[in-house]
Amino acid sequence: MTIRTGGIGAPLPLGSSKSSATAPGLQNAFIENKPPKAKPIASAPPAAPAKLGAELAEDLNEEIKNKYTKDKKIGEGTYAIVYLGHTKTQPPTRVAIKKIKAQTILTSGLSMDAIREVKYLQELHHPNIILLLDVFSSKNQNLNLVLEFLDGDLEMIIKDTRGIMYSLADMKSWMLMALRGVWWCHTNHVLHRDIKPNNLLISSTGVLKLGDFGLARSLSDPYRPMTHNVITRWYRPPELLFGARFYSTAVDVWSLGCVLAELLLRVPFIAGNSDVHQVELICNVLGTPNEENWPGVTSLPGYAVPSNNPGQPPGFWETMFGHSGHEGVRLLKGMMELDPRKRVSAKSALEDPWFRIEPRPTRPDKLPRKGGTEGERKVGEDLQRVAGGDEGEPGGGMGGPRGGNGSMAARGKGVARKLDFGGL
Amino acid sequence: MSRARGVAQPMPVMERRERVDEDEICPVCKSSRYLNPNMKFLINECYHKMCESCVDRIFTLGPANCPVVGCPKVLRKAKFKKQTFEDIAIEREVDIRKRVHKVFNKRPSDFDTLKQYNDYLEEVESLTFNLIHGIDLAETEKKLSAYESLNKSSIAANAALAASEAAAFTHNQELERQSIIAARQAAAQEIEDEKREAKEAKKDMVRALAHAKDEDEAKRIVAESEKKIALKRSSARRKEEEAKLKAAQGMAGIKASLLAGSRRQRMDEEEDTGPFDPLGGYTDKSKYFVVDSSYDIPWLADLPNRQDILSGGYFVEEYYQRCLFEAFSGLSIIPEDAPGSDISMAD
Repeated sequence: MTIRTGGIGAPLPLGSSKSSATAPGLQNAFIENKPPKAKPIASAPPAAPAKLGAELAEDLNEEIKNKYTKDKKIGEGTYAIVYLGHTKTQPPTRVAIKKIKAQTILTSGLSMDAIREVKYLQELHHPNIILLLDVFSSKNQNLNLVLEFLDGDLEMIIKDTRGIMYSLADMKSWMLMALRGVWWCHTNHVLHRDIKPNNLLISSTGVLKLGDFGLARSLSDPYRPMTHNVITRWYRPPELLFGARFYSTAVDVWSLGCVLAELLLRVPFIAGNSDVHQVELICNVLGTPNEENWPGVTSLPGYAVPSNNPGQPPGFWETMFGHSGHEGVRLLKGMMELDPRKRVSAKSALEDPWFRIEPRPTRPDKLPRKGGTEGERKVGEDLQRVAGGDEGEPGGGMGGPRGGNGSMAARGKGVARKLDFGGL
Repeated sequence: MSRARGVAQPMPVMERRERVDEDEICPVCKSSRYLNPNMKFLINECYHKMCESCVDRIFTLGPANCPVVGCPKVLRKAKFKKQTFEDIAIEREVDIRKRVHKVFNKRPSDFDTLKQYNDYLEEVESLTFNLIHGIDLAETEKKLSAYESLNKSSIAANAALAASEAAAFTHNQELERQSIIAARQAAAQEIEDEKREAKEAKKDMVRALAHAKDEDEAKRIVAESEKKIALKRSSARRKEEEAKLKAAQGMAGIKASLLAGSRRQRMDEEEDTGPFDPLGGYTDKSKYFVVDSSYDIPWLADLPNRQDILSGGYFVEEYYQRCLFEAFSGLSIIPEDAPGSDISMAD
């Protein structure tokens, strides 16, 4: 495992000076951003005795640890325990502390998720990406990630069809923020690979942030294959379903296209209950991929399609998504292009006229939100989830792509409560 | 007390009776609601409940001790009141809060920073807490009265401001209500007028037709009357629109006067109108390099022919970009200023 300990605060030299001007509140937090595990392996001074280096790291770790107080547990899973905490500053700030259990899943060390999360979140500083404030280790060599506390996510908002109404301007605002986060990942050569409403978190000020970097990886070198078993099925692009081992930033754009469609429909757009079914549904909507509309598709290892389906007639998109306007439909179609080479990039999606025309995107603090303690519970559930190892299926195996969470909440549900007759 | 007398009774039955009694029997005179269906309970500053007739009986002749055993308070009849909340503890807390709020009535605008305001709120809250839970009562009371005498003028000013705001609010509500009523009446009147006019027009037409000489004239009369009706309708519509506009303007005026106090909100609205920046102030351009469209790299020469790699959406341009980015990243960062510099120095 390699955790870069170099002080690359903001990956882009030019961006770094600019970003501090646009997001003053967020940058302050990084002054204290120490490299994660300053354990002996990280950096031992060559001349001094090794013991000194270890002690230094120990002190540093202690110093970071003492900056936070754990308040209460908000969730536990096999992979991590999540605590609600706060900083010891005045006034205190709420944080989520994700304690990764070291020796449970992989006996040889930390889980890949944790490593990926630390590796990429440490480098990506952007208002629309979740903040990793600190990393420290506690007793038993447990790794603790101190993350910004975000109390909701987009799925909660989309699903609450009774309680929350949102407008076109609100959807634009959410898409804009999500695209900015994804664009920043792509600019810094990171693929998120698990974009879904569930992972688009929403802060108390209404700002949408990309979370859960457990499946992220940096762009691969040419000829080096990557796994195709990433991204929750409903948001998985066709090239991954066809088992492509060489792909790129276009996969995240497809997922975002699915999110946009879901925002407009308020139900998942293409929700297959198996990989084969998912391919079938995509063919149903967009037409069967062939050499004509997607040059080279037949050379993909897992290329298997049902009988030739022409897809939906052109009017389908207008009827289904017409309420987003012509530009909205065009952008959605661009993001959900079958051929990844023809799909729009996150940047060109951001520059789409859809975001410029009326109604303009809502300001984040005016976006509809879900109140109450619901959010706290949700954070616990989301963070504790096992996102699946490198080769495992994300969120799969537990009954549908959205399974996986709630397994803890379901526990103890059927146990009868002891009745207290004394109180009667 | 009733429990002491009823020891002989089996326990559970007793428990239940007591619960019911709480609301049914006056703790002072023990008269029950069964005998006096109109019984009303009153409380005073010691929050001991007693029925109206007890209050009349004990306090008519002037201030007297609270009849509840062990309560040292001297009560007056004028200060008895009806209970608002079912829970006496809440009733008491609300009264205390009301009292504290009357004195500590500063507003956020009275402070320079949010921190100061928050500190003030915290102080007020701890004072209230002490009063409610009876912690350091004497000292807290002293603090309260000291603050009151120190800030007499600002308290009075804020109270006056609050009163005028409340008055303005009710005034606006009244205006709004009246305008709605007026609009409704106008609409009803209009419908009535229209009906009447239509009836009259028809009558006129029938009369004219009765006097018509031939078919042509009859036709002309019918056409004319239709034209008249159409004209009337359009003028009516215009009138209606004017009235609507007027009402809307009136409403806008009301809204504006309501918002007059909240300066900050209006400033927020203005921020929205800046130019739109799709990338939110960030950039992906580097000042160190420009990416070419292709490079002559021997081991990548085969790539354009590898259909299985390209059709999955792999872009070699992204690889070029990444290589250059990694080659130049960190160049602008001075080691001393960078976050985590103490470690990179040790390297």
